[in-house]
Amino acid sequence: MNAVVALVCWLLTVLIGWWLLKRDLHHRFGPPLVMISCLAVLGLLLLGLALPVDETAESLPLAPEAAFMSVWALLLLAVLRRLTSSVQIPLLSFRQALVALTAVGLAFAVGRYLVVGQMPALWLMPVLWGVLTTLFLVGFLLCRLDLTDIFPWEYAAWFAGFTVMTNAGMVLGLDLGLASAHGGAMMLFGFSFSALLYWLERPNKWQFNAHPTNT
Amino acid sequence: MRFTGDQRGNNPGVPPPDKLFMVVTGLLIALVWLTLWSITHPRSHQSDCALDEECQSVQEAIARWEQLWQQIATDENNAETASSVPDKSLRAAGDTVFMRYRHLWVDVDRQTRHAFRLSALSNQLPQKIELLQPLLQAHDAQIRFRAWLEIARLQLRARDLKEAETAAREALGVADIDPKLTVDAHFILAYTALEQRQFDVAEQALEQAVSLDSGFWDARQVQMWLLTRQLDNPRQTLSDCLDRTRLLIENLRIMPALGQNRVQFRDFADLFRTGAASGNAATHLLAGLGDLWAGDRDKARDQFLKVKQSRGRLPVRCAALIAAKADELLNSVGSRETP
Repeated sequence: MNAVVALVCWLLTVLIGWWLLKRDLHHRFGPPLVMISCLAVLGLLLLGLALPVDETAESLPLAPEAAFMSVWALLLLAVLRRLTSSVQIPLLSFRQALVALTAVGLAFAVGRYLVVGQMPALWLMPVLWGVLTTLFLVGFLLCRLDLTDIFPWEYAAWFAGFTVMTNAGMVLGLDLGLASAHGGAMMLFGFSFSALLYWLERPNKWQFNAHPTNT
Repeated sequence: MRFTGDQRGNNPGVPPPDKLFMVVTGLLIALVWLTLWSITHPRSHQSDCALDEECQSVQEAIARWEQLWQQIATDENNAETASSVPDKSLRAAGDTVFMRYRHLWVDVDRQTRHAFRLSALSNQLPQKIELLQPLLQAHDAQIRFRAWLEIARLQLRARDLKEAETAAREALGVADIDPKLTVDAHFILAYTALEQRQFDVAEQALEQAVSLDSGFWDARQVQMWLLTRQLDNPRQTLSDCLDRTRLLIENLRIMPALGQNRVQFRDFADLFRTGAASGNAATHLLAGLGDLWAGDRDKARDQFLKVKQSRGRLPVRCAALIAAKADELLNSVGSRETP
């Protein structure tokens, strides 16, 4: 049940974030809102793993070495940002990491319920991919709310890295073969999605508020 | 908002668009509904079998499960199962079936022997295969089979999985061959399937290899790894779960006898204990049996106790049958001895 509470928690965060944006308060309250909600969701997930509440829960085996491609991507992004701007990379990157960790954790928590449900086997794989995509998108939105000054490219690398690390243990039975490709497929997924969102967010693509775009 | 960022204070950035909020809110609501539906409709509430054929396979799996325990119970010294390996010529952990059993392939003519020897001595893969090519046309089925098998092994060593698989299938296609000789071809098929992550295909091929040659150490070892992995599959049926656990127990019983070293029960128990980090009931039962057969009753008791507490994703009835067996074993082990 923790996963449902965590999902509702993130739903509320998105709605509150939207409300803050409408009232132009997101610069001030957006980052603390995102950080608090991520910590709360992570806490709920950890509680679910520690207590025998969720009958299907298992400890997440982590294989950091499987995610070395993500580490390279993060390093290259840090170099790129350092060359082109004065952004303080580590803190911003770690904030995206926290959101990505929460999104991946929630995806696995939700996925565990889905695999033991009565869903037809044929639908399971697409649905699990859908869950992963949805939570990628939610995390991306929260990163955008948290860091309005920069585009969260690191989020995709963190997300891919965490997915590969947890998938190495085949927690979900979501056998994507990611570990064998060292996360390449997942990185492609994350960065393609981010690039698509970057393209969609081009100035004047959608006219939605009075903010100066200043790009 | 710049592509890589700006923090000089004069760039307020572009906030996320409304449409993104709408899409994300919609998706999250759908996800909450889907999760709630899955929680309220767990698979365990379904009957174990929806069709007659499934019911039959479940009954058969349960019968095989019970038969295994009867066999274990009637076995006087259940750790010493050497009697299940009747072939005296067996050499444990042999490479191919021809090396494990002597006198399987006799009366080989001099020319054929010479060709195989030359191929073995050659150190270039294309040359090795070229030397074997004429043997593929041989009149004797055994020679044709042996040549195909050797090519499959060479291709596997060269990591050409497709070619290895093709050669192994060709070998299996040769008629009039003693089924026992085909175990290596099945093993190569299993290995190539494993490398391509076709776990169900690999499982079937290994089952075939082990059923044809109970002394096939390598196949049993890979089978144990694969079955442990397959037991973690959350979508397995009751009969799959029971059959996999049964095969694991059978392997656990026979492998120390093949290696002719009783201590290995403990090694396998350790393997399951460390591998059972995710803690499903079957792996705890296996770890416990390994300890019990190695003579460590205290450790076995701990593992049997963990069977009920484990939170793995085994089908409910399968986990219940395993837990019932663990209870029986716990009673037979008795309570902990106080010093």
